[in-house]
Amino acid sequence: MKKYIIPALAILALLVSCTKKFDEMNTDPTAVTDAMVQPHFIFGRYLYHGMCNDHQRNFNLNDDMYAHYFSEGLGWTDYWHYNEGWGNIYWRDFYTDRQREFLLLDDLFGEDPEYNGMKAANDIYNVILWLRVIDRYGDAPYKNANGEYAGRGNKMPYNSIKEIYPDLVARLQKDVTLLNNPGTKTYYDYDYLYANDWAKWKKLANTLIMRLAMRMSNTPEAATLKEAFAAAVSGAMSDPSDYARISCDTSVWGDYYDRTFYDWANTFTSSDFMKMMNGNNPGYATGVVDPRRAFWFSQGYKVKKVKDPETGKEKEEKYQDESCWDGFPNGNYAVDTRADVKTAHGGAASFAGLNVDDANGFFYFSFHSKANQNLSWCLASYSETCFLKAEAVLRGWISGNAEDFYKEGIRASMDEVAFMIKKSGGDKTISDAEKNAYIAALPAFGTGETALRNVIIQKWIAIFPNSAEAWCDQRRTGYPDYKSGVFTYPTIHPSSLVTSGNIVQRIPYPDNEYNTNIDMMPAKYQSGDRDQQSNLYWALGGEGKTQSKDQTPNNL
Amino acid sequence: MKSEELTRGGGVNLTDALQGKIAGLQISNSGTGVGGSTRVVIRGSSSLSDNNEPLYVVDGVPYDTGGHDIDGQAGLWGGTDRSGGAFDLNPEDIESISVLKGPTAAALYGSRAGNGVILITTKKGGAANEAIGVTYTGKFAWNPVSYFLDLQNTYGQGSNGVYTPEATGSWGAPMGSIAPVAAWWDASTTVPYQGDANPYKEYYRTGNSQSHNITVAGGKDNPWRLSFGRDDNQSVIKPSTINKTSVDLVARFEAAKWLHFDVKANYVRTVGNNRQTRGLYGTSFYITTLPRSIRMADLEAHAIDEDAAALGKVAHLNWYGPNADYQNPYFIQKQFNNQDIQNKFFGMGKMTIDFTKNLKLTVKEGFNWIDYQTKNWYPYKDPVFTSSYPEVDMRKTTRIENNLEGLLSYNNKFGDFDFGVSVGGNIMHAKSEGLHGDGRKIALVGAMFISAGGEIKASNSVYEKEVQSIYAFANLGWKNFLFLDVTARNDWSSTLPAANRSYFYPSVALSYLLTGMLDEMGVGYNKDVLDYGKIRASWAKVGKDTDPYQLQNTYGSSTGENGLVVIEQNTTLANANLKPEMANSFEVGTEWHFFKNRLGFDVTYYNTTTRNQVMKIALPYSSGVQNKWINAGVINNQGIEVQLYGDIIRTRDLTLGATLNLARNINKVKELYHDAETGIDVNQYELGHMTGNAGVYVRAVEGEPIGSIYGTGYVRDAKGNIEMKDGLPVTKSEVFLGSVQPDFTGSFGLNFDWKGLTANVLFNFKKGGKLFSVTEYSAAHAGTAKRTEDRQNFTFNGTKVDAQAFWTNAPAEEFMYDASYVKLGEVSLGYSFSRKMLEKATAGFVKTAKISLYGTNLAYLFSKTPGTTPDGSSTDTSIFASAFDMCPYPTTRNFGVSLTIGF
Repeated sequence: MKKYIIPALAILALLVSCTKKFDEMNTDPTAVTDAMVQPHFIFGRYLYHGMCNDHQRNFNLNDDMYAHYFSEGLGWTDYWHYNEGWGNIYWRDFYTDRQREFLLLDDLFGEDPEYNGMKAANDIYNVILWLRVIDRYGDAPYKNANGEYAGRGNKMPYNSIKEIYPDLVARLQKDVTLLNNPGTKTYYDYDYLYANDWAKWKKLANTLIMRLAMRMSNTPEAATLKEAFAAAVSGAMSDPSDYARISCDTSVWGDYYDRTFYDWANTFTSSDFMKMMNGNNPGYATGVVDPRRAFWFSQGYKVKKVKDPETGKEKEEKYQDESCWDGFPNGNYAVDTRADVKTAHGGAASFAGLNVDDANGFFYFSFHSKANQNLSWCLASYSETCFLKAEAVLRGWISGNAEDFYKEGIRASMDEVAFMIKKSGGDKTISDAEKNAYIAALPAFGTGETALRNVIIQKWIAIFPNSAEAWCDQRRTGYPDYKSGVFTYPTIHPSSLVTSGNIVQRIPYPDNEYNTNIDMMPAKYQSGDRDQQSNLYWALGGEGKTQSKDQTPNNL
Repeated sequence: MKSEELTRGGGVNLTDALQGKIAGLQISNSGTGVGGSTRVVIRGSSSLSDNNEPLYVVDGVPYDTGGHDIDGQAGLWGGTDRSGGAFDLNPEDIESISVLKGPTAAALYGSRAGNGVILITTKKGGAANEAIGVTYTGKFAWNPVSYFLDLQNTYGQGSNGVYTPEATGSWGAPMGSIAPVAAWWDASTTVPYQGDANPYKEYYRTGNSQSHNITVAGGKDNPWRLSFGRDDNQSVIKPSTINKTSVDLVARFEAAKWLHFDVKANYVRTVGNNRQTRGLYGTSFYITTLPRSIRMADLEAHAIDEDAAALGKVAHLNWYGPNADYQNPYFIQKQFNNQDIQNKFFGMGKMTIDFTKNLKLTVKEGFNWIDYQTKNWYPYKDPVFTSSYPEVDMRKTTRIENNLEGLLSYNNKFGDFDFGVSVGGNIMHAKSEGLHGDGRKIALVGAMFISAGGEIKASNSVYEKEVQSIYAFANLGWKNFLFLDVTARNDWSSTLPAANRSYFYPSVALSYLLTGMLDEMGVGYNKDVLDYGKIRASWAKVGKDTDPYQLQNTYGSSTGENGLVVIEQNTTLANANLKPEMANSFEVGTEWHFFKNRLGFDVTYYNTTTRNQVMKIALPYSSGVQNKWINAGVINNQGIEVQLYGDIIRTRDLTLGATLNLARNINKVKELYHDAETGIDVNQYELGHMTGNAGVYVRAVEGEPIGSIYGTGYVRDAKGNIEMKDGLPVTKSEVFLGSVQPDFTGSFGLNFDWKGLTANVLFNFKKGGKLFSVTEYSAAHAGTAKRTEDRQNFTFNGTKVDAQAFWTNAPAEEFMYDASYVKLGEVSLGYSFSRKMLEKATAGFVKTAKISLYGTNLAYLFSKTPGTTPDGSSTDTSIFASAFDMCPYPTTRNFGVSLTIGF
């Protein structure tokens, strides 16, 4: 019998071959490996997704509503309700995608001066993205997220805004230095912002330094940061064509305004903002229709029934009146009256919409041809720079004439609107006569706090649709204020963490942090508290305080 | 279990047929009707990644039920369930099925057998003489939709008791109380303010199916069998059909006294057309939330604006919107088109060499080859979900699994000892390759092909792994009453790092036959009373590998924004140190038969602990990654299974028997993950969540059974009273709402046999376990649920509250239901014509004939869910989905007739 066993076992042994090929087999042949990575492939996604990814939940449903640029007819964030599922997305995508892309790029560039321009651009954009984290959530893991601990899955200690802001300013200053000697390497076609025009990147960095310094205006850090502000003024944005924007196509839900407005009817224009546009907000606007209105917005329509003279049957006919330039009231909560408000006004379509329709539309959008569409998200502009200067004069940070800077900001904004539509083939501009008529109708500039209120309210209009900055200004300065009624105080949603009379100040940290990193969070939140109304470090009244709808802002 | 027992319920899907027939086997349907997935879990869930399915082994070869790339289940947010009964062998080809619940079979079939094995033996043909037998079986079944959510039938569209056309809820005036209102599609015409009594019945039809099977078999020394089957199913939704064709060939060839060959070739072709999307964005959801005054016939007549469609413009018409929350189900039907074709070859070739009477070698090659393609097409522009419509999307996957096995066995007897030893080796190689093409934003109206796309995407994918194994097993019997089985297996898996890729798992089983010992020792006992008594105990360990490509970090790539290439980092951290998963289990049992086998029982206790599961844990996002693959967790399942049978009456012509199966499984998550080095503590693991206002999460929490449901609930004071504020109850999120795990499950059956007339009745039951009725939650918020009908004097918590305000803010807790039920699962009545009778009537032409009538899912004798069914009502077969009754198709009752004739 033994004579069978040996050959039989030999056959069995042959069955089990060697495991040498296992490592190769266990490598996914459809995945990209380190050797294939080149900076521009990373940078394109980094730029694009930083602004456009999941736009509705990342921007439209919070900053856009909180800044009263838009309202929504459904009873969500416009009523300051708390939705963790929307609030966590930006945090998640920033840390797990954008920040890792930033680090990967920074690592690829090393200290090679040929990459200076690319390295600085990567860093400048990173600062913009960081602002969107710390200006919404507050203190956040920062140092470790920029360093060797990133991407390992460890617990992450938090850093305070007080520490982070000066560091971001220092980084921007370093970027400006790098850009003095940008090197030869470029991002090829993937720099959607400035097409490797390093001079423009440098202007952006300087404008950002001014923005960051000004954010600290109510804090002790202002004492040193105002020096940085003053030093940056001369190198900052100086022309409407410096406008920093990222064009979006229709992928990753980048076309959200089109979707939210027209396909879903979730988003409306804000009645507060449209009052300004229509020139019927006594004391602020002017009895003059804002010349930017026709670029940004389109008139709604109503429907009436008329008898068809031929058939004698009733048929529907569209018509427009002045009220079709109205916006939908912010935070008009009660479930039932929402529908009634729409019905009473003439239906959802009877409110002003976004101008997506023609080449002169600021939001021009075409379903089949993305080449010349106009949909884009703005990061910073020359007009913002002007208003920052105006405020700095009022605060005594720099010398100059605040009112001149303020008026220059308004004119710049009107030119930026015309500049923006060039891409889609638009040819309209705003004439000097129109600009002058608008400016002439403005209320008296005044001095001190009055002047500051005028600056911030016109800035709110001028930087539209940069809602992230507008919401920051509102929290920092209290303008536009609720007391005077420029901002309508909403009926607060039952799920909101804002108590009645207070004002939304932040987005709560994601549940993920509470679940996985709670002992690192600021002490106030270690009990599991979610919070939408405590001031951030730089907000009016100081950290941890709340703001009231009845407050009279006093900044100066 | 024999095939007659399986097929008497007329089941087209084999796993359905197993329902309630074996203790400890939990089967739940996904509620997708014919062609839907079925979840089979033996002895409770141990896997957090929902990898609890048993291994199917057909004639000794692992049967591929479709992997990650094939199963295509529906999910919470829709999708299409294409599982088609993952196990899709033709039931007519099956001789018998046995279920190996414990893990001791793992030495033979590998780690996939750790969740238990469903062992299938197919029919082999053969006849006492060389005659050729032909058998025909035909089945015809009807599936009327039968179980619906209870709806209120009083109030129509509107708000606060008043009709308004802008209102989305059914909170308006009493229907019929106001004059006809302007039609939603055309203001110049009017419609009555009165909807359908049962809108589900307007939308769904009675499903039906027929199947035909012809078998030819013969051969005496070289038996063979060929069968051909064809199923045609029409689902409860109009354009949805599933057709299946199968061919099975089995033959055995004896080349010499010491050498013979077995071959099996099985081919199944399944074609599914327009399987319906489900979940929160499925048609049923929109019917559930439709204001009660809107008529289905109007929705059907005005689903599409044909003029707009011809111009390629948005053509979706609905009573409101349309947006994600409000869509026209008839438009969905026309917009979401799909087809899937699966060609599946399964088979094996086996060579057996008998060297001597005691020594035998078998070499076997088993193969699974699945060729699978799907096509989805969306002909209309419809930006509710994506701006990429009109779109055509096609996928093609080829999946191959080969098992090459050799086994050398020696058996002999020495004195009082019987013993056998086998050694063997196996190579399992699995590879699937996929191609995906997608044409989006098609501008040419009616052009439903990829190259018409304004934006075209294509990709390919690969999945490959190999496991090499050697194993040995030995059995030793002493004096016909004491038996010892020992097994050992070592695997090498390509999915694990070199240092951990080899793992070893042994098992030991001992059984003691009391009646055998008494016989052996000559001790007398009353053989009229006791037939059989056995005690058994076993211990086993099973190791398990993981999926490929989890060891090293890579990047993804695609054509991204502005048409340029993008590289994307992975947000899940790979782990170069993964280890195999290990399960230890222990089991004791006893089996007794009495009174000449008229009464018997079998009781088993088991205890299984799984460690080092490969799972994906959540990390702080701020750390730069969202998840990481790790080994962790200690999960314990222990339980008792009882099978009891007895013949109440047994005479020569008449038998009336009863069977009772009971199983209780206690599941506990003992530990998840604690890492001192990174500081990461994971004491709960999310299996899934439903965001939105209900905020329902299903989790595995340390110290609790897998499947704890958390969601919005009431705030209670110290005395347990619900707190009220502004006339409404106060709610909060993250309230523990119950566990999906049942206390026990079981079935009770009666069988009756009188001179060829047989009748069977089977009751299935389940006690305990909770589910969240998403269906009713949605309907209550929309004001369509029966519970919202009391509007004038609605009281809650002892105070009168505004019904609309209450229901539109009601938390998940209000819709938690006990998932217990008792149902009349199956009734069948059959008659076999006697051979004599047939010989007389057909002159010997017809040899056997049997006719059966059957019905399944006939009635819920006890159920607490609001008209929906507490089982088989979810979107897919995961633990997560078992926590919901999720707007499925209304569940059907099934009736059928089957006829078998043998020539």
